[in-house]
Amino acid sequence: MTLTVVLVCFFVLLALSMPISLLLAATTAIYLIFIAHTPLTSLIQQLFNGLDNFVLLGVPFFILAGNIMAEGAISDRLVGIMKLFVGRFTGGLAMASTMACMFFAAISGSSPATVIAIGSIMMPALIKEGYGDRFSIGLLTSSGSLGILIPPSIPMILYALVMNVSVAEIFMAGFLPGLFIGCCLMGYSYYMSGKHGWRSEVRYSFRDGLKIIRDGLWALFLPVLVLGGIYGGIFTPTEAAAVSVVYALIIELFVYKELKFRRLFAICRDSAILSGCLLFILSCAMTFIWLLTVEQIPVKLAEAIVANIESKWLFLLAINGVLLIIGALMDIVTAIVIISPILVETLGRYDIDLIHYGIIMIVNIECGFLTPPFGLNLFVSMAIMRRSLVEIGRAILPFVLIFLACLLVITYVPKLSTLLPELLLR
Amino acid sequence: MREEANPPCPISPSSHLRIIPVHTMENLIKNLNKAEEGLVGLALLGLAVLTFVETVLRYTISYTFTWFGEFANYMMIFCTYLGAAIGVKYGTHFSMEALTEYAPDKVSHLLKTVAYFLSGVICIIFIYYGIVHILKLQSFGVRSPAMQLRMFIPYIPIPLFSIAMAFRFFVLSFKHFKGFLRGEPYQRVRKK
Repeated sequence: MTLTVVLVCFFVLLALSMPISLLLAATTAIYLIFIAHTPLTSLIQQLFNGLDNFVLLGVPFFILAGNIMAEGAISDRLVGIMKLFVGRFTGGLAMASTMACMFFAAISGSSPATVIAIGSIMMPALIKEGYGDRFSIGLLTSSGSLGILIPPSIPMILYALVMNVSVAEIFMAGFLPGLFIGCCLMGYSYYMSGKHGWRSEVRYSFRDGLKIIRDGLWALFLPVLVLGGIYGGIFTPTEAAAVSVVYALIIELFVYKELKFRRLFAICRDSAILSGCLLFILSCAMTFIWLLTVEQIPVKLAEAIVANIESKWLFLLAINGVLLIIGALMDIVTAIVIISPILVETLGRYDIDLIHYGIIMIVNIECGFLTPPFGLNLFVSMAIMRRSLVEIGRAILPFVLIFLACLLVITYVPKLSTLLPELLLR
Repeated sequence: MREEANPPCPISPSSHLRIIPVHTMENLIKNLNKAEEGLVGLALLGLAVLTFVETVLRYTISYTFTWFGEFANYMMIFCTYLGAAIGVKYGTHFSMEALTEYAPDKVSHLLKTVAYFLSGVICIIFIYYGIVHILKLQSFGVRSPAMQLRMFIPYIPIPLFSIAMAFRFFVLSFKHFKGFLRGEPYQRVRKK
């Protein structure tokens, strides 16, 4: 009975297109008033407690750092270096784009920020070099989504919080899958470029090369600082986020000098608003998660699933299907903070590593980012590449298939995700 | 025809608030908006710089501010609720737009009217019970463990910024209701 009421409320309000955050709070409020007969002050308490956690502070900081770098010259310098390294090969510029996305992913934690940062620079360059509209759009939109798989990653922080796993461990687990997908994208670029004869004669003199490297050193040092700091035990992921904000600010304002103080204000404001909305969802979702736990819904769901699906592998396949649909319909934060706690009990029954499942979830949602009609990256690409959703949807298709193939490998080879954390952290 | 991905939703309260002279009211709201946006941006940047300073001090001279963790959390709660309140104005709050994107214009307007109205109602619940909770904490005299701050203070952003949020949601609801009555086209994110 309770479950039915909660589910009906949830889906009716969802269909109305009510903001997800308030929808979650509304469902909890309805439950508290009509079923639990508890005073609503406990709702306020849960809203507060949900946010009272130092780990979460990493989210606004990584958003701010990502936006500063996307707007400034760091992304530009990164692209320059990648072009220097792989630009001369067949499909060099395409591979340089993917590599720049991977590198940018290692300094920012968000996927749309990566698309904006690298996509807006590389899109005109790729088209000018004759790589073809469709391929270029697809490549940049999909490579950008690596932003959330290669650490640091904002969704991973949220996942770690709701599932009670270590942020450092799940960050580490994203490395190999991120490199794997990146290499697959580069392989596909190489194949397509060979087929169509896309090759640009980018040659640099020794002197130019040295200058590009010298210019880009500041940008290259950032992932070393952030990730080295976290894994060297110098600072926590939250502190690393703050360090990257200050580092990016100093580099952009005083070294590259391309970011204006006036723009900085707008960047801070936009980042604060975006992170406010994200964390507000989390704050409200914590009330909902509390409702789920009180009603023992994860346990009941686990029993129902275990009774019907015998094999762990079949369950993982089913979960992939469900997550793909959810990823295409919902934003990533909601998907992570609602779906993961519901499944936590079931994962335990099938003996699935929570870190491995976290990576599966992130890759699924990356695919969701790329699937019409609601994939977030598609909208970002629409805005920066000035194309319609239909064109971008078509361009992205082969890349979505590559992602799906990689997803299967990541799902059925748990070692790919768990190897690094096991070797280095456990 | 191209439509913007995140259409800003300008609020013009002048049409239904006639008690105070329109210009004064508009100016007041404009200034409040500016102050709000300036405050949230500065607070976030300041917090990042402070966290950086704390990290450097801890690493170099092993000095830590005992109050820092608590202060940072409370500031984050402040920024979150303030940011969420401003986010309503810019349409930053995520929602599932499956129905509104594909339904006829009139239906989309109606759905949004109800959705935003209900959102406003939830914000009023936040305001009312937030105040009740704050009064309770104040009467108990609870203090935070590290800063010895009266515990009701960090709770203030929840009802305070819910006021701005509720106001904006009701304005949006009213706007869509007008759109529904007049049969105006519904602004979609998806390009047709």
